[in-house]
Amino acid sequence: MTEITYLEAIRQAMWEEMERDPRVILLGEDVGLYGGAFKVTAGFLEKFGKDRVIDTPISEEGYTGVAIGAAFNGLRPIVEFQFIDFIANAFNMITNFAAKSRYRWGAGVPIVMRGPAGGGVRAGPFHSQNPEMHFVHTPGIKVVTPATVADAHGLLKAAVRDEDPVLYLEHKKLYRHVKASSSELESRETPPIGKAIVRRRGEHIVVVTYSAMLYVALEAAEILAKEGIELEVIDLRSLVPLDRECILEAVRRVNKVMILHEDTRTGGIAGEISAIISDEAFDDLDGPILRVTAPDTPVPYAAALEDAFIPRAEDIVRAARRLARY
Amino acid sequence: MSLGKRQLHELLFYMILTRKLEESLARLHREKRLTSPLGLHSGLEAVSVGAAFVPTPRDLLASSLPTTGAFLLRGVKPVEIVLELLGKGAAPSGGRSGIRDFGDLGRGIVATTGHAATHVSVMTGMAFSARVQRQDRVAVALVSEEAVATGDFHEGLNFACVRKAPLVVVVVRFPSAARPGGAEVSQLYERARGYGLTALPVDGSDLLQVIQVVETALERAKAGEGPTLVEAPLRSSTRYIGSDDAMPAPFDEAARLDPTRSENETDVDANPIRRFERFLSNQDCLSEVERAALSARADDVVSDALRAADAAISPDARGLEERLFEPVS
Repeated sequence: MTEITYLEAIRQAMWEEMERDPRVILLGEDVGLYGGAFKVTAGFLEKFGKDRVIDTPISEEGYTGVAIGAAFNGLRPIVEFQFIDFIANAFNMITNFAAKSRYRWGAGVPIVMRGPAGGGVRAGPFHSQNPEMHFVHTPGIKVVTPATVADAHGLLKAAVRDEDPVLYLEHKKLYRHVKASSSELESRETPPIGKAIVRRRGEHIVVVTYSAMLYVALEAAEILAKEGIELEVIDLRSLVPLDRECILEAVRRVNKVMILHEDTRTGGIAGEISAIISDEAFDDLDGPILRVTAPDTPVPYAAALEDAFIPRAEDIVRAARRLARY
Repeated sequence: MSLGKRQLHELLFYMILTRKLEESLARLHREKRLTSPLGLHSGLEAVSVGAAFVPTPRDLLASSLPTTGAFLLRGVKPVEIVLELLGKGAAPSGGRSGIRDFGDLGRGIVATTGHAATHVSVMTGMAFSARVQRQDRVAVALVSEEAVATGDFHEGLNFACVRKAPLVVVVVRFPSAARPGGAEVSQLYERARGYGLTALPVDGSDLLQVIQVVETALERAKAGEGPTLVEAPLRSSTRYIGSDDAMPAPFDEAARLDPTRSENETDVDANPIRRFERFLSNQDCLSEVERAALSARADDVVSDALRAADAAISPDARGLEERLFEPVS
């Protein structure tokens, strides 16, 4: 039985979808001849040809527009941003063209926009960002944040089959660090987008998180378990749609909640989730809704600074101890 | 392209209808019954009608210009345009968009965001995907010269050139007083050459020239020769964007019907409708009776559209949050 990485799961998902559906094409910088900056598309050009694996100039707005046009004309493009930070250059095309077309004139835009997000690899402020909330705040775009190998595979396939634009944020720190048995990918049905999952059951505090922070939450849960504090850990898997029911069910059962993300604090999804809980389950709370997030700064470069920027298990442990006292 | 008398009259009719409909929209705007930013330009009729006349129903068109005539030629009914701008429930967007261009892939129309050149790369994508799917389709994008100053324009065109996408981009240049954005953009030809892009000039006030040049551009695209830039300067244009602007130059029936009125040839050259009428008259292809009949027919169409749109009801607010995503089955 072979072990595969999160990165390989992404590669396999695209390969399988391109084999399954000739309408699926891939566009991006260096996706063809070079095989992708992280080699996730190595061999695709040879297999699928230059009309389906398209090396683009460094012009994110332009090739995102090309993908939208190709989607209008029957194809199902996957757009790769070499680093997700570069998606800022395509902001107008995504938020004004892709996101509003179905609502305005009924034209769906079945494109997937994917790329490496997140920090922890000492890549500095322009290769480490978490841009999800720009798009969560734009109605009309789904935002998917896989944390596991199986989800990296399954949710990408679901994104390709979706009839609407999907932003698929793959965390680069997970690329080669998260592994699973290849059998996990076999015979799995493609999961629906919009269903969160409880990754660990616990009775004292719910931690709501997504993407690479899942592993930090699980690490903290191990530490806290030794103190008799049991964390329940919810992996959101997607921010749009947001699985409100999963969150609220856990809050009503466990009564204390903490929201954890690598994104910066102000305007992060934690604020929105906190408001939902306050609206819908205030009477079920036995303590304040806590947020553990990155501070409101750009992602810094130096190791000492980046380590302080990205939430760590000790930050969760500290917050959990505080919450446990209520 | 050889055109018979009936087709020539239809072309004239669509130019007259375009002008009359746009004048009515401007009046609605001035009366504050219509609040969407209009950005109308008289003098665009030849480009508007000419650029949409050549493409077949399979071809695709998008325009960030107030090219009402182009939409009419794609099969859009005048009432749809009025409904859209009045924000009525029966409007193509159901009251959700309200900008003058809207989309309907079934009629080969792609809605832009209204901004200068966002649609250039989208139309490049449609053209490119048509080529790789071996579809016999060309994408036509209409922009104003202000688009040439945007990154969108160049990113889209660069891709189209590299991939030999069957794309035609029509760039309209306005006289300085009517120029959107105010700033002058020059040397489009120089820029086109930098891309290895074929650029064809055309007098944007001359309908038959526009048709001829767009036909050439479409033939190049269909022959696999890649994109073409058509540069179409207008000789005259009046701009209407809001209540402080002048109305588009009125369609002056009294002056037109007055045989004693002497008309400056230069003025006629600059007015696409008068210019085409003069051409048809000189060819013994348009009598005064026929011209008056076309004008009256356009009046009737506009009146019917306004009446029907006025009587239509507002959208049901209960549908506000619908159609954001495809429903999950």
